[in-house]
Amino acid sequence: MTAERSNHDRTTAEPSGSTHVTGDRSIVAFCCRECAYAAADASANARTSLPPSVRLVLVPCTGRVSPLHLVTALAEGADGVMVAGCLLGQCHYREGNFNAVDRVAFVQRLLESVGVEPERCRMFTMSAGEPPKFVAAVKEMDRVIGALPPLQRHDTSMSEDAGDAAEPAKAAVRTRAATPAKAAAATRGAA
Amino acid sequence: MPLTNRGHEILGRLPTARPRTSSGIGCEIVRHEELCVGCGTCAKNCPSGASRRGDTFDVWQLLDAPAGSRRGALGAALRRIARREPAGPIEVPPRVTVYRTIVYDAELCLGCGTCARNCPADAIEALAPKLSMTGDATPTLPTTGGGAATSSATPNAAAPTLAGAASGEVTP
Ligand code: SF4
Ligand code: SF4
Repeated sequence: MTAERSNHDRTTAEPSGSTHVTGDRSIVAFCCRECAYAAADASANARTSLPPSVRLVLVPCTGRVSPLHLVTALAEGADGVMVAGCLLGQCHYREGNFNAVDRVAFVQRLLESVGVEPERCRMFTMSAGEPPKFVAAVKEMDRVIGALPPLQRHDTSMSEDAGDAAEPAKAAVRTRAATPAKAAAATRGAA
Repeated sequence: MPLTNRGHEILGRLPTARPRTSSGIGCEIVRHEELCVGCGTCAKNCPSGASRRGDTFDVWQLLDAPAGSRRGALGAALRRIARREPAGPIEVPPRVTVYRTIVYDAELCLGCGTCARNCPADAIEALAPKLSMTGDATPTLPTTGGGAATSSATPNAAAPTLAGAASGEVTP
């Protein structure tokens, strides 16, 4: 059932992608099954088009989303991640979305501390009966991410880095960041 | 088992028994923060409050975490997109409990080794006690505050055993 629905989402979303140019950014949206995913479903049934950059990931509750999911999505190719859950206080599992709010805030601080724009990770809340709100959230996210430069990743784009203006800073991070890890590994090996 | 009031009274009458001042004879605790997984078991089991979950998180703990662990995976992902080094610890929102640096206060630590025994990640080492009794026993007495007048020099040899026994009783 859900697989059919997500296919349906994609087929309605993709034709609009060919009409306006959005670059090749991608946004991963972790959607709660009880609200945001249902809202996405309803918006797809109403033939509303979503920005083609968004990829929906169905989760049983936004409380399932951990910082590891969010940061891994960014590291593996997403330019932005969003978590879409129920309105605060209306979580079907009581307080999963409160946990999600705090985890998103934590990931934002984590990103900020390593020099990545915190806007790349955001939390939205809506109820199942608000498809327009879901579409607005996705569009808002798409707009914010579209205004940011593509997220650079170290090991995948090493050859492109050569001509990049940001290259010296990145190299500095990589080498200096690698040193303490090695030192720690060495001490562990010795101990 | 916590001491009763009567127990505390008896303890107080013993010349050198101070349950919370045995750091000179307990294990030396060495924490390896990069191995810590943030489970909080050490903080939960610590009898003295020397280990507790802090309000901040040191991002280097993620970046240095061993590969293959969950924190190592998060650290590796963070490293791929990092543009600069983390400048300092970050504040942690209240509902995030795992990503908190454990605050360890060596002054309060009894050296009981409970934390090291219970740590699932072997992030804490309890090194053998430093048994320099003869030199240490006298200086520790004044710092405990209210060392009884009787405890001038005579119970020097007895002090470690008494303190040890007392702390053994107090810590369950
Ligand atoms: S050795 Fe004992 S008192 Fe010290 S931190 Fe560990 S559990 Fe707490
Ligand atoms: S018990 Fe070990 S792994 Fe758990 S919080 Fe304490 S040091 Fe970290």
